[in-house]
Amino acid sequence: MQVNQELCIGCQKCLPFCPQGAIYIENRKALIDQEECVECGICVRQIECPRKAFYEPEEVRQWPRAVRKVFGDPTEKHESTGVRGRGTEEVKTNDVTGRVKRGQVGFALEFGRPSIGCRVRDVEVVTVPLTRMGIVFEPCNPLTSLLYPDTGMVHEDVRDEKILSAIVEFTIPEDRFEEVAAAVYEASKHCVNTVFSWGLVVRYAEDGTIPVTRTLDKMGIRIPKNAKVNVGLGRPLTNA
Amino acid sequence: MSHTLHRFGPEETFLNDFPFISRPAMQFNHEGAAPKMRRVMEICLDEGPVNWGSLTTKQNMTLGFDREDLLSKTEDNSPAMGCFDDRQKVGNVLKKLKEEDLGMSVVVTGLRDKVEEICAEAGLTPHSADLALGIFGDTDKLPDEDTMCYTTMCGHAMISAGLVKQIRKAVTEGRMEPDAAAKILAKPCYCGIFNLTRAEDMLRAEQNQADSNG
Repeated sequence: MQVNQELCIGCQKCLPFCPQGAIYIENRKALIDQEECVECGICVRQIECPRKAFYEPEEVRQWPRAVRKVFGDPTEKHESTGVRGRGTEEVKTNDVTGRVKRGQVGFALEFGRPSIGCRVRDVEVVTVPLTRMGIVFEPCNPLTSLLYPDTGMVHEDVRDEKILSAIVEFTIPEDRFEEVAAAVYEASKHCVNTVFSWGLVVRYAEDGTIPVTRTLDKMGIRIPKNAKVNVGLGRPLTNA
Repeated sequence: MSHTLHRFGPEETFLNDFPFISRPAMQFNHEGAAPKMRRVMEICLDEGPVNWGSLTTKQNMTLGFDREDLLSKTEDNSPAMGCFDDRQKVGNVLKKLKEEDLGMSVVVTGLRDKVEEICAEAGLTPHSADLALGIFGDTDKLPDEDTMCYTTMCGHAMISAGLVKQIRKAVTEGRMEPDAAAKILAKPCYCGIFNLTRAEDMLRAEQNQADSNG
């Protein structure tokens, strides 16, 4: 995003709104730090700029900068998924898609979340070791197309782009959960430039329990109280 | 993405916090889903959510919300998104959706045991869940925890820490009332999953604390 310098009156009303804190004042005019801007568009959509000085220049849609828009602006649709957002429908429609079945666990490691953003290359802290372990990342997740499948490394042309967040998403058999969770936990110690929020997509067992919570308990990982629950209203319902 | 998950804050602040999403599954049952999604939205809106939103119309309840405009622009792949601040209302919605058997997937976020109780009361068997295991990595870079209670109510991270700090300061200094402050914070979240009641309650608690500190 950019600020039209001829329009800006330097009122500073815009300063608190940028989620990345990328707006600053210089010579009594608002400017946007182009390295830190993730092209989320909140400044254009939301800030009540008295001169409507914020705008989206054409370069935002050009590669590789376009990656920022794809992973930063929730109003944008991904070509790869057909839906808005940075991941897949994951648990939202799992009752119909059967993306994660009984006996499986889905991982969703959202880098840059909450709020602070990341460089695309930051995901390598987990994608490289997980690739070595034979993990295959979710093909419908837009991040996966930016990774080399044989190494888990990020494509050179986008690795330095700053994005709001990206989700490393994959599904494994439940009997590999402890091994893979331990690898993610170990990798998290080397995640020095950003953070990631860790989500687990799981199936309820027939008795209404979630088996993986026993493994989490055994590993000393706090059993989460918050969850997003698919209530089973989708049709046709998959019982897999 | 899991944008209603990973909300941050003390457990007691989630007792009346139920983000709601319904959507068709792309390539599975999305063809011809528009009328079903419109009906899901009608059922939810009739019950009275604390917030509701749309990335299509870029509206939520604080920006100005036109129910008929939203319904008329609903397409086959449109999600229904909002938030309830009352477990009874969520339960009523689930019961109606079960009765009408529209076939659209529904996720309700919240404290897992509470959501499971609501499902049981509605006669539903939960299918699957997305569990929030927490935040890992360089957590020193995060804003303070009080600020994150508000920023994480927009899973797309559209509510900036800077705005939250400015608004909280105005409330604790008595320059802004908690209800007005909550509405300002809710605006950037087009999905409408920002819980205005939860925000107002937390802001009021901060205001009371500031008052008692003199």
